[in-house]
Amino acid sequence: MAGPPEPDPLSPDAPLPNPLPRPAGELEALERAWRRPTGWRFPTVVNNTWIGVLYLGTALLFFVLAGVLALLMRAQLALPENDLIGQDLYNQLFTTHGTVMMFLFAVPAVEAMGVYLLPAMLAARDLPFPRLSAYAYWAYAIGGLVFFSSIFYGAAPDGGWFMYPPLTGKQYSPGVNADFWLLGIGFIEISAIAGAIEIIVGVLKNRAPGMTLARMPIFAWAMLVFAAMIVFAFPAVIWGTILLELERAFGWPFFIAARGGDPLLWQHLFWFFGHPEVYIIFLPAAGMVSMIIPAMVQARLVGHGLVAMALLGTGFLSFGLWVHHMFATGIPNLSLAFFSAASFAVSVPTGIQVFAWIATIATGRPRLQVPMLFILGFLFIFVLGGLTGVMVAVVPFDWQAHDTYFVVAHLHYVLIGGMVFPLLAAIYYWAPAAGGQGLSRRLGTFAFWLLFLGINLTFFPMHVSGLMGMPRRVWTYPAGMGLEVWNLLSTIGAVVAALGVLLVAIDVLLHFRIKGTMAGNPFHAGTLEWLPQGNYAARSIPRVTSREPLWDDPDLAEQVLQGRHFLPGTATGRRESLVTSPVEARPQYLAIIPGPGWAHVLAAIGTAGFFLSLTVEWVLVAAGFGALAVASVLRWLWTGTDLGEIREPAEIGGGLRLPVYATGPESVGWWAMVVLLLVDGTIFACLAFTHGFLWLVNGDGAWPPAGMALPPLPAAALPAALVAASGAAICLAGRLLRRGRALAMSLAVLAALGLLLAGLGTDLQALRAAGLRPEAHAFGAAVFANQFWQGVHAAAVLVMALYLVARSWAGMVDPVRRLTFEVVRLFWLYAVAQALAGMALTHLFPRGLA
Amino acid sequence: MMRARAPGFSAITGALAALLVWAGHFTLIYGAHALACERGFADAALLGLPAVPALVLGASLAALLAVGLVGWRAWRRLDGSLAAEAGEDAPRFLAWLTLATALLAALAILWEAVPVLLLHSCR
Repeated sequence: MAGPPEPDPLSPDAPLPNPLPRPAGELEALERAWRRPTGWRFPTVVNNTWIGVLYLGTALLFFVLAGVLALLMRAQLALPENDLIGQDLYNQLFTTHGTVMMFLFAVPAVEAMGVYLLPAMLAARDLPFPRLSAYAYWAYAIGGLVFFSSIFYGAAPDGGWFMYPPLTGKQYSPGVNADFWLLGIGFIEISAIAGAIEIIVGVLKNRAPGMTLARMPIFAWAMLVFAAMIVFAFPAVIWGTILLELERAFGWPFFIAARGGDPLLWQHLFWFFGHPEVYIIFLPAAGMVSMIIPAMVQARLVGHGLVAMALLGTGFLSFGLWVHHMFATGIPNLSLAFFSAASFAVSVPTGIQVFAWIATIATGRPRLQVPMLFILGFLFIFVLGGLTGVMVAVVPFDWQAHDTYFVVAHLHYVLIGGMVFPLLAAIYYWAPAAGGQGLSRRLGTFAFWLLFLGINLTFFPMHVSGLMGMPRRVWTYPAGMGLEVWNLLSTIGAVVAALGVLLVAIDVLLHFRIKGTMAGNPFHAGTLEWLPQGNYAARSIPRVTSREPLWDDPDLAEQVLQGRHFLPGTATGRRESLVTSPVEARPQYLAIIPGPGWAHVLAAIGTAGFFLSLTVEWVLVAAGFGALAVASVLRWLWTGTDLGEIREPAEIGGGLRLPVYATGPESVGWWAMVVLLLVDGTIFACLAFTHGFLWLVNGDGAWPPAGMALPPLPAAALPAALVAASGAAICLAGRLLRRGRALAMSLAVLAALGLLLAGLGTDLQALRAAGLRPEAHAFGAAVFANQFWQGVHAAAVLVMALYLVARSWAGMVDPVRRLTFEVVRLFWLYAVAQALAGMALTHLFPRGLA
Repeated sequence: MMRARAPGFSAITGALAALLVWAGHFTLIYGAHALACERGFADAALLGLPAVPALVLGASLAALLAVGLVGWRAWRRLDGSLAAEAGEDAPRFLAWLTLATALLAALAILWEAVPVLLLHSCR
């Protein structure tokens, strides 16, 4: 910027970014760009407020459905030797209850809160990829409902929510029940990852100008850590799911001990996901608590920085706990001690948060409104669950309590206390932000007491029945062992709690309303989600100068509403979001974001249909759905992304002129691909772990086993050289593009594609020529699982390459408009590196050790 | 056009450095210990010391040193003042966050290392 030094437009001393009066038609244009579709076009909606509400509503529907399953189980267990529900159905009930609560209620519910609240809290117009959230929602809603209905046909999974083989292997679970879990839940994990990418990029790149990391609300910290944890935790269960499905469908023996597999491999992969999962659910809830308490007691959160540190620390330490679910598997004591110690260590950051909340309550003047009641209930129930958690972190105690009702009591105290109560507090607290008057204080208070007493009455007696030796997951128990009274109490408590849920549901149906506009701040909170909102979020994007802007600047809401802050209209006539830098939140560019459309909805239907038809082995139908999904995704990308520089840089106020297009590390597309590659890299790490683990348990002599051999080492040289050449060719294509030689670039891309496919193909051919097959032994299975995964990447690269070439021939790729190319190149180079690492694993790993 | 003045990834990973050291340490001690037990090195010796405890303690000392270095650098960026989470200034806040995570990581590393002094390696 030339001329005399201007004041920093983000400084609190600078004049407001935009003057009054605002030009005529500015607000109308903004409203037009952000209008939501109505009538039969409603499914095309992408506005985060609507998707967030749909998401949360669907998650709550699953909560009620899984709760009904729990009531059926409690009815069966109310009396000893009851025969209300048979053993088979009971197995399906507890498996579906756990699976639905974890995968279809808890994770989507907190993700929904993130989708709904984050843009408002960060004063962004929307999340960076609104169609991605909508896609994730529809895939989840359709897939989840079909998955749930499997229980009506006796086809629901019945091996427990953690699906341990060998019970869930083909030999002991021959039906499609287990496949419903593996394929039905498998792709909902993909939906969770899509949401996580959205949230990470949104929190880091879409904050209001001036909202530095130091000023970012705790809920955003919590959602950032939550999403990062999904990125590193979900790959383990995705990989485990792939292995178990490969074993069930094609007989590749990863978990069959007689053929060199090991069931413990599943437990490691599952719990490397499963333990962080608990914190994945808890941290967003803790983040909501850290937002609600300050408003309820009208005092700033005590230890803001400590709480942020606690969230980060929990995010990491929770990955060092997974073996504490495996204390009873015969792993050496010293290993168990490492995990026991880590389990104690993770209670430190959680304790810090609890004390920060108590201290905040102590410094303020608590108002006993409904959200506060649920917060107090949360503190009581969660702390009890945390204390029993410390008990089961003690190895000898865990050996006594393992797989008993004591553990059932513990996990329900943690999950209901740590997630359901904060969620209910959040619903009562943020309902007015959607518009309308908010929920009823009377109904809410009644519901709270029913739930609080009901939950404690249900689960406290389970500590006792567990210590008396009642194992979890039994469909009935004999009379005369002293278990009757505790089980009857639990059943009565479950009914009381269910009445509480019913009251909440009635309250929501009677009083929850979504209005296009929200005004007012009934709890007098300090953060930006209480600014006046329309479909376009805040009218202008505030300059943030503190952590609780509404408390520190009482005029802010009025100024924002008048359009005196940044970007009070639309520069391109389309939906735009202001992209800022990740640490200091300085404006970087205006991203044009896509509006409503059918393509992502069809893509979601295709994705859900593909996986669900595979479950019942309708291969042709699955292929049709798969083609629909791919075609719809391509159309969505073609029409909605990488629009190029459609106009010159635009004025957003305060003398800031921002481009409407960016590439490279400034752009949100680049960040999204980097996050996706972190997911991918973690899956590959799980693949490498599979090799290493099976090698360790089989011993050098049996890896490869007698009669099975790899091709001689030189056979790997040609494939490796071809793959490496593919990487070089895609880099060459980048140089050609920079010089504007579009045709030559396309040819280089096609050559790079041919080299990659040839490299992977010759490697596969060499392995097959050496007589290696996946079915005989886990060695072959592990080698071919690696091949399978490389093949998946080759297919993705194939689609991307053809898309890129088509875009180039359509004149949509040039030296400036190069985002599509850059994103494809990032993935491509990753695929090349992963293919080379995979070849090293196959050809060098066992040999290098010999 | 305004360029990003603040570093992106590096500032964030910098604040995570101590926790990343913790993750590396945890992976190493668990992996090495599992390998030792599975391959019969339970009672092996390393420079005359019992191998597994020596390895775990050595790795823990190295990790504590690394975490200490991260914390000390953060402390210096704070000019030695710990006052109330360093306020809302972003670089100071990140330095404070780095120091706080370093303390937590050190505590976790210490706790996880202590059992080797108490338990037999592979029973």
